[in-house]
Order: sequence, then structure tokens, then C-alpha cells
Amino acid sequence: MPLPSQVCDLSAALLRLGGDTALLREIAGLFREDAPVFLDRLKAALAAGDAAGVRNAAHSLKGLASNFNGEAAVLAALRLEEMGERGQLTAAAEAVQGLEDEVARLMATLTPELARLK
Amino acid sequence: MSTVLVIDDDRTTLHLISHAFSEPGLTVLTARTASEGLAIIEAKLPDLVLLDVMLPDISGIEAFQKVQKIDARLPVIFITAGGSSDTAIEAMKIGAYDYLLKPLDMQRVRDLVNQALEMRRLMHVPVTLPGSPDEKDQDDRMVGRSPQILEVYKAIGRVARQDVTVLIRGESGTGKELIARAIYQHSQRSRAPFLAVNCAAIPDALLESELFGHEKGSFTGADRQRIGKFEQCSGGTIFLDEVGDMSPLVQGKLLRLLQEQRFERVGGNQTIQTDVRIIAATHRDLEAMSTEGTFRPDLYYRLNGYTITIPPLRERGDDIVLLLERFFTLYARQLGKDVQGISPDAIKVLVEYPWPGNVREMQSAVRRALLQTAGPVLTAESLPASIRMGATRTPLASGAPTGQGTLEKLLEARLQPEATGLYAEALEAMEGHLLPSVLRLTGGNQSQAARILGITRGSLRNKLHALNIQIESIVLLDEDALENAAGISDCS
Repeated sequence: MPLPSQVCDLSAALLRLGGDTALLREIAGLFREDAPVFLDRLKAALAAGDAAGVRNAAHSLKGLASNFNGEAAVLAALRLEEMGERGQLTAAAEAVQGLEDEVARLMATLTPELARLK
Repeated sequence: MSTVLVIDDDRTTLHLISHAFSEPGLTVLTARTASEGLAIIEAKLPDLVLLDVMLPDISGIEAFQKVQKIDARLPVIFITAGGSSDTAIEAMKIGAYDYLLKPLDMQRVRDLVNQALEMRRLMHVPVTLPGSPDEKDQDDRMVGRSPQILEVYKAIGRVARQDVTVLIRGESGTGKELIARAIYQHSQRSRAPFLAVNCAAIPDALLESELFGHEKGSFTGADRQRIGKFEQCSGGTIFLDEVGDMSPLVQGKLLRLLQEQRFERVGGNQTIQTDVRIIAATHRDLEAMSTEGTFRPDLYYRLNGYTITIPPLRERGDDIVLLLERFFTLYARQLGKDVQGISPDAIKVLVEYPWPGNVREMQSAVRRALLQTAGPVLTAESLPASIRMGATRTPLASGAPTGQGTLEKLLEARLQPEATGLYAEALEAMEGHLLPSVLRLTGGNQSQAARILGITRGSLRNKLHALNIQIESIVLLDEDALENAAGISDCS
């Protein structure tokens, strides 16, 4: 079981935001709302065999997770983005499941981590 | 008021950028698809676009090409996440301004947006000559009717539409950038981009890369390919300010560029063909530098094909009064000051002062004097001390207060119930004291000063420019002080 520090790194994220914890909480709220939307889009694109759609939705998820230095989720999204770019979706279903798990883990970790911030 | 448009389907990006520019004076518009963004560009004519490389409807490159069709001079900053920066680099080859990497660093966002907006202003705000039929109040206006300045106007008219290199010469603060912009705006390239590079503000090692770009791995820290200004601005105009401050290596590359319009990126073998018009400027004596061997004579002859020399303010006769009137009216309005006029004693001081820092020094002095004025008339007492005492140098001293107790003095003079804009004024006073102190410590080294201050070099440069602080004068003043101190100790 990886440590929560690999799921996200809010001190690095805060440094980029000039220490603005309220702003970090706001973008965490947007992440919670939007990540499921992009995951749905990703699954729909995969079901339709739409490689460009897979690439685009994975790219958006990668950007969302990077806000919190969510490395595990970023890497999972990058893998899918590259599959979409190459048009090779054979292993994509498994990768989507992996990304969904990482996004869920990031969400679950963000709540207590954010609560710890003053 | 500037308008920035952000196009990204990621709402966190839209939110972060809107938050970064929440202060008045800048409007942030947002769009989540390229088609929505393009419609906003057509309807609202923003000053800058931040564009995600990957959008749901069309690719970032396609979107960029459509933006260029609407307005080729509209700066576009790409937003990219690691792994997809290749697209952003390709976009710079066809003229994108720069790119930002996700996750976004707020300070970097602010710096880059401010730089791009300044470039947009240089391109977009018209430089008008006296008597222009469509002169508007917000324009950057060239003021003056003296025979010396009329020659400059004529020279602009003669050379603007010819696609030749121009060298602008004149002391610091005479307005060389304004002349360069006037030439660009009246040239056949006026619909294409204009980029300005201050060669003195960028360390030698970085200037070559800034102008010509570099390949990945060409030096320590070159972790990505970089597209230089000469490649990025093909079809457009580049203003090389302080061209006399270039290292011999960069001088050699520039010479080849002027001869053949070709160059190689640093660490690269591929020859890049470009098409840029160069407008160069310097306050240095390039003939003397050529004789001394610090400036290549062949480059000097190439640059010197058509030269415009701007006279110093002290030689412009009645223009001094015209410029005073212009700046007084402009800043009184900008600062919201209900000051009716300038007293005769203040006019006398201002007309007799030799203005070593030229027009820029006058701008700064009038602005500062207006800030100090509480009554209906700008009097001699409100003028900076160096001007009242007729000091013959130190644009620094006129542009920014120095010495301890500045803030106390400011508060003593200005802390009244009817005062306005005191925060900005106090901040300016503080920066006017802080920045020269740090730069003295670093011997004028801006990178080191920026590190000490904890701000970026770009931000430091902007502040120095806004406060009219010239590094040379800081270092020179310091050297004078050292010499004086040495003199005293010799006597004792």
C-alpha cells in the first residue's frame, strides 16, 4: 500500500499557489466535481473506440490531478493519454480502471490532507 | 484595461488564472472549447489568449492558426501538461508567444501574462505624431515641435515603409522604444508581430538562447528545446534595445542574421531561415566601441545603414514646456488629482533643470510631484529634491526616493483625511528605497537581486522600469561614493 505522500503533495501545491490554502480548497472542490465527469467521458470514448476522445479525457484528468501533485493519478492518466495518442486501446480498459482507482484514492486523501492545513 | 481570454476545458485552470488577476485593471474571460473561445475573440477582442494544447473540439495548433487569422498580433500563451510540451514548442515556431506548464505556478503565470500584455501594448497602442487626425487620448504620443525633433519625425516617415534595418541612437530616456514602435506601426509589417528584447537586461549566456533558441541538452539546464525570438517572430519586426551591450559571440550571430536571415539554434546543426526586420537602439558610442574592439565594425556598418538620432531633452528648447504640459495633464487625470496648474516657480525650476535622464526622468518627476501635491497648484516644493537643487545627474534620485525615513516623510506630508492612493504611493516609496539598496549590494546583478528579493527577474525589471530606476546610475553613484570615501581617507 503506497503512502499518502505519493498520492498527493499539498505542500508543493501550496508553494505554487503562493500559500493560498483557500484557493487550494476551491480547486479541490472543482476536482471533486469534474473528475467524475471526465472519467465518464473517458469510459464513453473507450466504449465507442474513440482514441482521440480517450486521449483528450485522459489529458484533462492528468491536468486536474497535477494541481495536487497527484503523481499516481497523473501517471495513470498519462499512460491512457499515450494509448489514445497511438490509437492502441487494447489495454485501455484495464488502464481506465487503474486511473479510476487512483482518482478515488486522491479524492479520499485530499479531504483529510486539506483538513490538516491551517 | 486589458482583457485576457483563457481557453481550457479544465475548470481549475480557468479558476486559477481568474484568481491570479482578480485585481481591477484586468478582465479575465474564460471558455471551455475552442469554438466558444474563437467567438469571444471575434466579439471582445482580448489582448492576450491562454490556450490549452488539447481541447475537446479541435487541437490547440488548429485553434492557434484560427486565432492568427483573426489577429496575427494577438499574443497566445499555450498551456501544456508535462509530456505534451512538444505541441507548445511547435506552436512557438509558428509564432505563439510562450507556454506555461501544468501544474500552474501562480507567480510564473503572472510574470508571463504581464510580459505578454506589455508586448501587446507595444504593438497595439498607437504611437501618434503631433497633428495626427485620429489622435486619441490613450495613445502614446510623441510630443514636440523643435526643429531637432521634427527631423526625427521626418526620418520615421522616410524609413518606416522601407524594409531596412534601422539604428536609433540617443541618450537613456530619450524615447528610443517609442520611435521603434512608430516605425513598426507605419511599416509594411504592421499587421505582423513586434517583439522587443532589451539586450542589457539579459545576461550574456541567456541572450543568445533568447534570440536564437537552443536545442535540448545543449547546456546544463537545457531540458527542452527552446524557440528563440528570431524564429518565433518570422515575418515580423524585432526591436533590439541596448544593442551595444551584446557579447562578441551574439554580435557575430546577429551579423549573419542581418546578412543572410539565417542562424542555428544554440547546440543545433539545422539552419533556420527567418524573415525579420531589425530595429536596433543604443545609447552607446558604437564608433568608439568599434575602434576599441568591443563592438564588431562589420556589425556596426550593417546596423548603421539608416540611423535616427534622438536629441537629448536639454537640446529641445520649447519642447520641454510642451512635454511638461502633456505629462501634467496625463498624470493629473490618471492619479485623479484636481490640480489646476504648475506654479511659475516650479516651471522655472523645471525649465532650467538639465534633465540628464531625459523624457523618462521628466515623466517620473512630474508624476512624483503630482503625488506630493495636496493643493490646487503644483509648486516647486513638491518637486523631487534633486531637481529643485538642479542636480546634474542621478535619474535614480529623481525617480525614486532614497534614504531612511522616506516613508515617515511621505506620511507626514500626505496622511490626511482627503488623501487618495496612499497605499500605492507608500509602496512605491518603499520599493524606491529597497530595490536600489539590493542592486547596490549585488553590484547591479539583476539575477542575484531578484533571488534576494524573492521575485522573478522579469518582475524586478518591470518594477525598475516603473520606478525609472537605472542600474547604471545606481552602480555609478555607488562608485562615486566609494571614490569620495577614498578621497576623504586619503586626506586624513
